[in-house]
Amino acid sequence: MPISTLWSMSSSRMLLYFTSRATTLSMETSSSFQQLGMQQRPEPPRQQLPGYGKCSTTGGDPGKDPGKAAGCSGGSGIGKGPVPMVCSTPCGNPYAGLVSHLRASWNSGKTRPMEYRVAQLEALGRFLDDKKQEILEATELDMGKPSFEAFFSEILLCKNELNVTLNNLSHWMKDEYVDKNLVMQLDSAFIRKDPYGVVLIIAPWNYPIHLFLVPLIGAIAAGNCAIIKPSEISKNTERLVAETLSCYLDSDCFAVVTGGVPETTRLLENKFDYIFFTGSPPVGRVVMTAAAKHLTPVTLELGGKNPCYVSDTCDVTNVARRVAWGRFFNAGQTCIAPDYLLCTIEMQEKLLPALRKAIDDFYGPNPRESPDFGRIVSDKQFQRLRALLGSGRVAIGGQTDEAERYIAPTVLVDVQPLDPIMQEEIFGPILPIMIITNMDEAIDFINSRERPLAVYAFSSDDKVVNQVLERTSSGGFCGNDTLMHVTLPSLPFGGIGNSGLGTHHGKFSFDTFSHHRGCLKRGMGWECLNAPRYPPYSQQKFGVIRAMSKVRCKNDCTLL
Amino acid sequence: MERMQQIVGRARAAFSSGRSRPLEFRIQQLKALERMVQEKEKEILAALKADLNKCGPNAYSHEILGVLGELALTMEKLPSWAAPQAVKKNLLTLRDEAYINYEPLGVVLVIGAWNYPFVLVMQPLIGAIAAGNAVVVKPSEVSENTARLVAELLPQYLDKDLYPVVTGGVPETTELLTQRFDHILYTGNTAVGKIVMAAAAKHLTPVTLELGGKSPCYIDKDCDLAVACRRITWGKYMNCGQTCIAPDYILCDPSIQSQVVENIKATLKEFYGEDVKSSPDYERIVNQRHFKRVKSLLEGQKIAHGGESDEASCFIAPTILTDVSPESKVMEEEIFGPVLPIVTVKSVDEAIEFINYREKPLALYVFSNNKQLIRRVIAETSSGGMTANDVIMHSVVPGLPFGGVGHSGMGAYHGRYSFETFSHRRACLIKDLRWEALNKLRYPPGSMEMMHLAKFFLLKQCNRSRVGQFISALLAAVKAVVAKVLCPQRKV
Repeated sequence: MPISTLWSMSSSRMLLYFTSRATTLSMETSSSFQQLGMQQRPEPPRQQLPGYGKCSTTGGDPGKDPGKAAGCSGGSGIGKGPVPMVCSTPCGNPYAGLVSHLRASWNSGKTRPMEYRVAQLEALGRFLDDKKQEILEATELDMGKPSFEAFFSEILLCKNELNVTLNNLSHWMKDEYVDKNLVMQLDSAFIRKDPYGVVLIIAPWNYPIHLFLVPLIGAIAAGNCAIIKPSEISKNTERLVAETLSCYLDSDCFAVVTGGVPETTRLLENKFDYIFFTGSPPVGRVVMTAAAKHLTPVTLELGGKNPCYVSDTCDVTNVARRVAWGRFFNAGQTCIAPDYLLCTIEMQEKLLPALRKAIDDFYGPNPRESPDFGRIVSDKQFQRLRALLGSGRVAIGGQTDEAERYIAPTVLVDVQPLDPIMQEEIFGPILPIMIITNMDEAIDFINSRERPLAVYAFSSDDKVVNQVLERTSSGGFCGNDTLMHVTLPSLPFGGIGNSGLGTHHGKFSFDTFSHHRGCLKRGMGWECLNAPRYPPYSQQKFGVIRAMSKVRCKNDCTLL
Repeated sequence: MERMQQIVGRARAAFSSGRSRPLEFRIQQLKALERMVQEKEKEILAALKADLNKCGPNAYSHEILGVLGELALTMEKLPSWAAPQAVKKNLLTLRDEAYINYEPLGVVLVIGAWNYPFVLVMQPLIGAIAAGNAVVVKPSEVSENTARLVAELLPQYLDKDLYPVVTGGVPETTELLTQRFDHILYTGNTAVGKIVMAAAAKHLTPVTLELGGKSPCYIDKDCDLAVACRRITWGKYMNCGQTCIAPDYILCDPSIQSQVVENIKATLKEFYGEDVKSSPDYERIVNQRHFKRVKSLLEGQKIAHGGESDEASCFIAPTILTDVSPESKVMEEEIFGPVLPIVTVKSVDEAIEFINYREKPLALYVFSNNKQLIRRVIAETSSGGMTANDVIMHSVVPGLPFGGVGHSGMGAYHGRYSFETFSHRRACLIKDLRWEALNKLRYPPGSMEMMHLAKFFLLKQCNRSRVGQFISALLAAVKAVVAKVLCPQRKV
């Protein structure tokens, strides 16, 4: 989500370094284990590992239980589940035991029945209800999240997602029967929604509950086991999740792993059946490269610079309010926030007072004292954002306070396309305005850059909105408002190009975490109907096949 | 390097011009493709004969028919697939337009395989054109005659800039993969699949990987063995066993093993006659390298039937191996040749365990009269796709997605699934610029009252007595909005 935030470029390089080193190291260990007859359990890692939840039975040091460290020892001893034939995970990996414990649970089939999934989802609902206050407090500590915003994004939208899932799960899980051709009229052809197995969810810090919980709802609904890796940057929320989530969920199937880059690197060496990552494009590349080693499918929810075009014909007051809300929500640390405005110089003159008024209405004359305005998550982010204030000229705001990591709601004008602020995702409460002369130029500007996660267009004229929609490409699109398209669970949420791949929310989450298995059940009778397909082939059979194919072109039915 | 850059650059420029997007253009290109297949049928069949010794009827039904069928289906259904799909709204967005728009991804790369060299390139191409993309086509260099023909024919019928063909081997493909694409569909083996995905990761390019694997075939004691073996024989030995979804090995009870062998032997005689080598319906192994590999799998095995080979013509007779040990080499890699090992298991439980112990296969087959047993095998195993009481056939049902899971691949295509694979589902919400009062509840300054309101608007799903709650909540909403509008300022 945030460019150069979650982990910066340098740390992603470090991650790559770690990955390659760890692989060679562990391969050496692996062979020595084989010589030892695989009897010896891997040495416990020297460092005390970041713990799991207090209530978690899988908690503590995963290397301690030799039975669980089955990723390479050849026998899990848990459940009746079989053990992978190939030792694909490097021996001595601190998480191998945990992953194979979860895999054993998955192989036992316990996560598959609908009742189990519903029970776990309801437990997630209880987690949200019971821990509401703690969640609000932790997010307040992490980034000064205003309670209204925390309630809206971390609890309300999650509950919404949960309810949609609970209400529709039985329907989603049903086999989907499909059209058949002539020969198969007596058979049944359907799509079975199979769980993948053990999935990994890596969440960022900006919406620390929402962005692990919503994918987790999909993973549970689809019948998977899951490992959750919350962001180490939002440390209070991380602690809350690590300590309390396992009290609600089945700890044989769901685990929380905490830690930073080195821990995540080691975690990614393990084989997962699906990886769902939310974060920045550089780390997205690292995750996908790690996934390629095990042929693990991925969903990458990344970020980008979301353009917001404002045409000359529109209600300036309403535009300013809707843009300011979207930009300054969570102090701008939202992956789908409008990143910059595109408008004519005339429109800018009208928009500036309207934006000033909107900011004043929302946060009062001194936003620093408003309980409804958040703070920047870390010092590093704060420094980065403060440097960006040097681009263009400050028209509104611009005040900062390092001690509190406060950056006032800011609007920049006279910004040039090559300025630093136009080179990276801003991810803070700063809104630059780029001047263009007309819609065509705005569209060209948008298309000359990486595809964003969202495009916004404001106009009283539907045609203008539709033009921008049709002539650009982005993950999602919202006309005449900001952020709102993600509040609908019926719409898929996901990026394209540099802003990510794959989608989630509602049924799309369920589908993301399900393998769509094409199934055909045939009868054993009517063997004569199969005759044309068997050798020896003859001109006669060839004729039958040709004839059938001709029929198909008209009436849509065929033999093969 | 420059050549690839040029080709991809030209395709991208053509895509950016927007001409691949209109529905009429896509259908016109698909029609041209159909014309190509119909007009050049002889040439295509000749290339397939040269590459794999595929005889006319065989090649026609395996390759040409599949392409024509996919084309007919796509042209018929495309308008409905490409139409924006309206979605459910909540109370907050009730007055707005919310829909999913299917948009092309951009420039996609299709890398084909040699075993069905024509259909495995054309089917993804059809889906990619239908979704409005530019497509770089890379046929397999192993089936060189078909590759050359595709490179020669496509530009004659399709837009030259939008749909270029690149031929060549590993160095060319490696170079091609350094270019940035918006989607890559690769058909081939697991090892190369990993390379393709790692290359794609550099550009964050989504991938569809159609790989292989050892597709198991379980035969229950309770089934019509003659019919089962006929169907298995057909699927196993077609294209000389070089089919990614061919049944790779048989799992059955020791007591029926010899009957299985006898039935397959009888069917083989019926299909290919006394002298398989002279049958026009039996193909050859694609090249010497694969011939040697398949031949080496026979070492140390109990050959119940076949086993003859001729290196000069890459001929390997239909072969059955019995009492095969699960640890032997033939059970470690995908066979991809006319060799059928039988591994005996004592029960369906053991069969399921055997299957789950290994990497997830591309296909799974089970033969039984017992519906309960079939249901159980489906529920307790995982595989890309599956057919019960037949083989291969799930891949020809146009409504079923075709694709692997785990080591057998990721993503799916065929029919509508091809269209979706090559499309981006863009979430679109078009709001009204007016009705700002409705938005007040989400703006700061926040209050608990507003929170409950927002809750109502978003959480309307889980109500037991919906109507009653709806009315009372609506009243509360109206009250709150009125209150907010009348005394809006709570200056801080």
